[in-house]
Amino acid sequence: MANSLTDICLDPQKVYMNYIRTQQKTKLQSWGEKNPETASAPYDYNYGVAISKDFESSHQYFELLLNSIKQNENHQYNENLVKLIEVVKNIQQNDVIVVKLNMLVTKRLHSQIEIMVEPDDDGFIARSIDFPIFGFGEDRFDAIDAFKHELESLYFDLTDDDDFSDEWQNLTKYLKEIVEP
Amino acid sequence: MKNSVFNVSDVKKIGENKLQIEFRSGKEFNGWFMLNGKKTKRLTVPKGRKGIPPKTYKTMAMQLGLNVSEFDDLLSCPLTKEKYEEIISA
Repeated sequence: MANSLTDICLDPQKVYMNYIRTQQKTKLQSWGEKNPETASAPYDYNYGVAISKDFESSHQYFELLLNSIKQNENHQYNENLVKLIEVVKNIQQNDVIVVKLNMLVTKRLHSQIEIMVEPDDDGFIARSIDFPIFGFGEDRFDAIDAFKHELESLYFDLTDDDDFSDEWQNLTKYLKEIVEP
Repeated sequence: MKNSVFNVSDVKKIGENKLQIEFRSGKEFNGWFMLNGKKTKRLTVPKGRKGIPPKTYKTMAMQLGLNVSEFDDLLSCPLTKEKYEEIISA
């Protein structure tokens, strides 16, 4: 089982293995183990830090898989594993994944924002249509982390001063609405 | 697109020298371009790498309110600060 997942999953493997270790309470928190202080988790039902739509569906199959293992249903186990493999392969092949954030580095968001993470040469870039910022990183986790730093940095810039052009004034209003003070 | 010609240091230097952007060092370098006494454009220059990947290059151009071709010109000299101000004021 572990070997299969190791073969199949690159980045998602960390997520799944952590899920096994921590069971139900702290789901999928190993997203971005490099920077645990600031990393997003792709999905956390109870505390909600960030959601990847792809990971959301893979999580669903992963839960089915775990249940199958517990119940020793070999046939169902195989079926669910196939579905999980498909989803993970899809994540690996997809150029773009969409991640929802509801937390920055130190700030929480009242409403989630969607960011797109996609390959950019030898790394990854995270962007949002709502903000003229980006985060670049060696992997998706780094890029998301960089984006969160950038958005928080922008928030502090905009709330620290008021000599901005109109477009930034509008963005300031929007940020003040969605960022918890 | 001249992202293979210019690296992040070039962009930062040109931003500082041509557009008088003062970069602040954080996780990345960030700086504001001032127009008529107001902060108008915010440029991010990634740290820790030399080359600029294409999507990052295009996004940096967009941060300055330019298309890729105009950004190329800004970096390779033909586009002056005055011309740049005309573009973003239009």
